Amino acid sequence: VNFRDDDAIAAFRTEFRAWLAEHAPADPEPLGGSARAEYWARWHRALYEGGWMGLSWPVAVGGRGLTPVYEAVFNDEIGAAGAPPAPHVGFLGRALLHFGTDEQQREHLPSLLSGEQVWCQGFSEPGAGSDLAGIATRATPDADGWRVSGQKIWTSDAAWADRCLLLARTDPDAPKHRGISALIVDMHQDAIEVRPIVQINGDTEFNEVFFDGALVAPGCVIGRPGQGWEIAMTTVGYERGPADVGFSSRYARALRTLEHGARARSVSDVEAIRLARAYVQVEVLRAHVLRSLTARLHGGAPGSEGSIDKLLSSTTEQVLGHAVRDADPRVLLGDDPAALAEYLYSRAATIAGGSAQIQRTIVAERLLGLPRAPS
Amino acid sequence: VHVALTEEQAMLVATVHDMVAGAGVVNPRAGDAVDTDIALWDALVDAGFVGMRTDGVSAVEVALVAEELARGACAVPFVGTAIADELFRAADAPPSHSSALLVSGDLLTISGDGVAWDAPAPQSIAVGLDADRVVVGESGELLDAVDLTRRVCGEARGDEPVGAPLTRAQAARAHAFALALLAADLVGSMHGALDAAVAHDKERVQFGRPVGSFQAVQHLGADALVLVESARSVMWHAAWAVDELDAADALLAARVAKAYCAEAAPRVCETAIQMWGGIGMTWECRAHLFLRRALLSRQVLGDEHVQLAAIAEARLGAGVA
Repeated sequence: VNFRDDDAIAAFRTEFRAWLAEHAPADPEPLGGSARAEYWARWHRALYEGGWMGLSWPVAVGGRGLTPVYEAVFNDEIGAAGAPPAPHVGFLGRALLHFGTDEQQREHLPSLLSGEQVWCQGFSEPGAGSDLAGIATRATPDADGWRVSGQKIWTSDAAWADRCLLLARTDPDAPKHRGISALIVDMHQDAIEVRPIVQINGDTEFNEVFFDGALVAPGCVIGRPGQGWEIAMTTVGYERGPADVGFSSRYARALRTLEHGARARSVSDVEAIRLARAYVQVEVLRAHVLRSLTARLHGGAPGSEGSIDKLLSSTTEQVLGHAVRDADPRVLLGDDPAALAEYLYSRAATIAGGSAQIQRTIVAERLLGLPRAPS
Repeated sequence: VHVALTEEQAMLVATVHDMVAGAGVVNPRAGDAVDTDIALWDALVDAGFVGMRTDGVSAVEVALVAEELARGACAVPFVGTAIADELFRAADAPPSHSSALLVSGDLLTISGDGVAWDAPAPQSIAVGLDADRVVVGESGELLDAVDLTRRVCGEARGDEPVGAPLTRAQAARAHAFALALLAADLVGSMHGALDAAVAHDKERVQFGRPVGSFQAVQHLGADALVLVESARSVMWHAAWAVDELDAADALLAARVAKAYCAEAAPRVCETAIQMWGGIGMTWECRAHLFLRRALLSRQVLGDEHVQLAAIAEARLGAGVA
């Protein structure tokens, strides 16, 4: 058990900290819409040009080939600097990294890391949320490749995405988990319509996406046809990692903002205890993430233990959400729309990326070994 | 950064685990406490697990042993002795390798006057602190304390100063060590409680199927496991910090771990009783041994409320009104 930076990590930390001091944007993130997308794109680009994207990715696809622990250090430093959170590109690319051909990796991964191409994740459907394997979107072979018809929902960034990692049913006769394939879809075509969904915080991060005979080129199946479920599960395994999706940096930043605010004025005992609780929760997550990333050094892709990380991460987000909401009663009177939006957004933590109930069932059945619930 | 057990640490845990399994902890007769497991204690001494710090072993190893002993609800005064020895070590005095920790009557501070927690026997040696001096004395009779696996004796007074006065940094580091070990004890207790309840729910059949196949039950267990594993991660950090960070940071890390584990352990142990159902309410079921043990380890040197107040002070300083 060793939490100390070795020399290489310490040097990395120092260098990244110095870089952040110079390059982190000083202007606040715009609320919603394309202004926010542009703000994110600029930040992503800056990080990429600085050489900070894809730290634990292979050098051959534009990464740095470092150990997974560097992703945690990266998140820590962004949070400590109060910089915008890390772009959450990582988990989508993992599908290609584990299952893609060399050609697919060369074509897509460098531009995904650089932010040149924005990807979205076409998994959930109106009729297939927690029961993801029940997807109805069809991909049927034709002379030009595949034609996709159906509807996706909760698709983050779809309005400005260039590519979609899409799950579609390619074999309607196979058992539901086996008839699914993972496809790379070009989002710039008329047969795809994106409609933003207004969320409870007024933001429009999520979208509905309609496919009406959208074309997928023949070389755009990831892995084998029918391997889509396995690919999806590997991808969501990474999506559950707080450092893989940049959530750790978001939490560290939120805590830093709260503590700065509290130091600047006199706070009540009640508020001080609330912030101490948030600090404890962030520290627990930080220690646990380092343990998970260390385990990944030996064990490859994250497994069912990732559901523990996900549940812990969601709790942390919601503890912080409450602290942000309650920091000042004037938040409720419209004085700080960003704080209110942050609190409301925190409710998604236990729903998105596999609900807390789904995670608990995974933990119970695969980690505790409790008997499976009859379906 | 390598947040995993080394091969040696994994072997240490496995060795203690085997010793515990061989010891076969049994439930005491109704109303009684468990007798100190002399055979296990002797085996731990022989194996060199008592007084490990004298040999330059890190706090992580000591915490791992403490965790494993708590997981088996073992009736040995390991944590009290380890903290007492840490105080001797800080004062540059020879260790006793078998003594209670002298804490104030409200259990909140290491003290020169109060009760002897985790006592090897009635009238045993108790080691505490009087201002900056490590003091040694005797304890009085056994109290009827909640924990059935470890003893608390009343009327403890440390009259005899030993060794050199502690610097503030030495005292803070010893305090950090104590909190990290209590956190480890809490992690072990909650893990032991959960394991037993899960094993029961795999077998117990109602409505024609194991109760552990009901999601309402599964989710209790899952939330408990999240608490156990995250508590273990932060406890590792605290134990590591004892020897690796400066004293103030080590103490803050220890307070974080103690705050989290103090809140999590009783919750997990209570959940375990729920997962047992009616059997969990019986004296015969071991579930209450873990809960009772966790209640005292939570309270000794401050529960989550005490730790959170200290953390707020450390993080926000003069900002707190």
